[in-house]
Amino acid sequence: MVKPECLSLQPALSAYLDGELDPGDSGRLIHHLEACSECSATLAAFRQLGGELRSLPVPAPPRNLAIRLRVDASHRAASGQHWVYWKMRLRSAVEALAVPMTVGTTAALCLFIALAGGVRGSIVDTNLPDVLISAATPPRLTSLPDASIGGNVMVEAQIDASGHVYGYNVLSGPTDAGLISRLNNQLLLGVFQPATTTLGQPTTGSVVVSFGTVDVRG
Amino acid sequence: MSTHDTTVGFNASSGIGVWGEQQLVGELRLGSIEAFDYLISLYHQPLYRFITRILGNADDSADALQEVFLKVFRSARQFEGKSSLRTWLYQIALHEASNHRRWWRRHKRQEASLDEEDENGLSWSSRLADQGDSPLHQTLRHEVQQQMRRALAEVPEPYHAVLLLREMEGFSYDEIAEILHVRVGTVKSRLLRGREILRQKVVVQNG
Repeated sequence: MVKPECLSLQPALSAYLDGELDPGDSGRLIHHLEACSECSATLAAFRQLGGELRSLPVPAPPRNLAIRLRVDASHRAASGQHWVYWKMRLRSAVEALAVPMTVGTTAALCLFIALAGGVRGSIVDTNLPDVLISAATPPRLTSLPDASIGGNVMVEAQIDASGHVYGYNVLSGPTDAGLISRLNNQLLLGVFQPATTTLGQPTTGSVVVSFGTVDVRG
Repeated sequence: MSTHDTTVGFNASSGIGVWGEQQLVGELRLGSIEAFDYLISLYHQPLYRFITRILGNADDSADALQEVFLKVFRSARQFEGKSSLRTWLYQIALHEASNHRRWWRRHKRQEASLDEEDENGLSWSSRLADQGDSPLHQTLRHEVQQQMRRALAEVPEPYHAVLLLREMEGFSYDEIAEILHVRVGTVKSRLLRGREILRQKVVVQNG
């Protein structure tokens, strides 16, 4: 039957043997060991076991083990140096490109700022309205002689900058000689407003004119 | 935990001289192959011994040790020096040996015989002999040591590793706690339990 005091102190036996017990607990244990043969025997057994463990033969490594380990380490180091080599190559390439890249980027940035600033200045200076007031206009027919040409004809007339017809194409309708003659007279005597550019200057242009007859039933 | 700056040894063959631990760690972190060579020369024997004892045989110890140094080589740059270099190495060695032992038990389930020869042509039995003893003494010593080896091999984890780290490798409780990632109180209780189990196993061995 194990005594209660032995049960409480047995956990300390191992630490005492290893010199890891607090001084206060050590004093208490030593005092107990002087009186307790069972705990003394346990401590002696632990001590003897430790001694026998330490006296076990030491497994000697194979003779070439250290060399194998060194060779392995060298291989690892060499493979690591491959990576270091490529890393250095990459770094060198980046460093070589660094100055040109910096100069180029700076120049491009300066150029962009200069150009962007100029564009912005011109926009501000012209102060153009959002809606374009002046725009190009096509030529327009102002008046024609009050006479019929005797048929339904559609023509495309070319108008010069002074508002005169300088040519035309018949788009649809009869093209007999009499009608062409009357058509010539109408277009030559007609008054046109010439086309204008976006700046309001008169220019050449074309206009489609339709001639027709109106039958009135009497 | 504090950093350590102790002199860790001298390697006469390499001519490197005495390295402080922090200097050695610093060189390892820089990937110095000389520092790694020095580390191998300094620790390959104790780590081999430790791994062999964890595994219970020498068959896989060299491979396991190679893995250990490979991991050390790979992760040296990440070593922050919060624990000592020795503690860190044993931490890795214990992890690797445990992995090997699990694999061994799963796939081979073979017990190494005391009469198996190692790569030097020497058996454990022959190593047990003290050539200065009489034949009777040698026989008795063999018997005691074989019993002790068998008893130790039967101590289950996690008590086995704690016993090895304390009794054979001489680590303090704080260091064992670092290696095993447990509290010092846990180390104390495991060690006590491990010693009790070993004692019982020896008694059984003695029949």
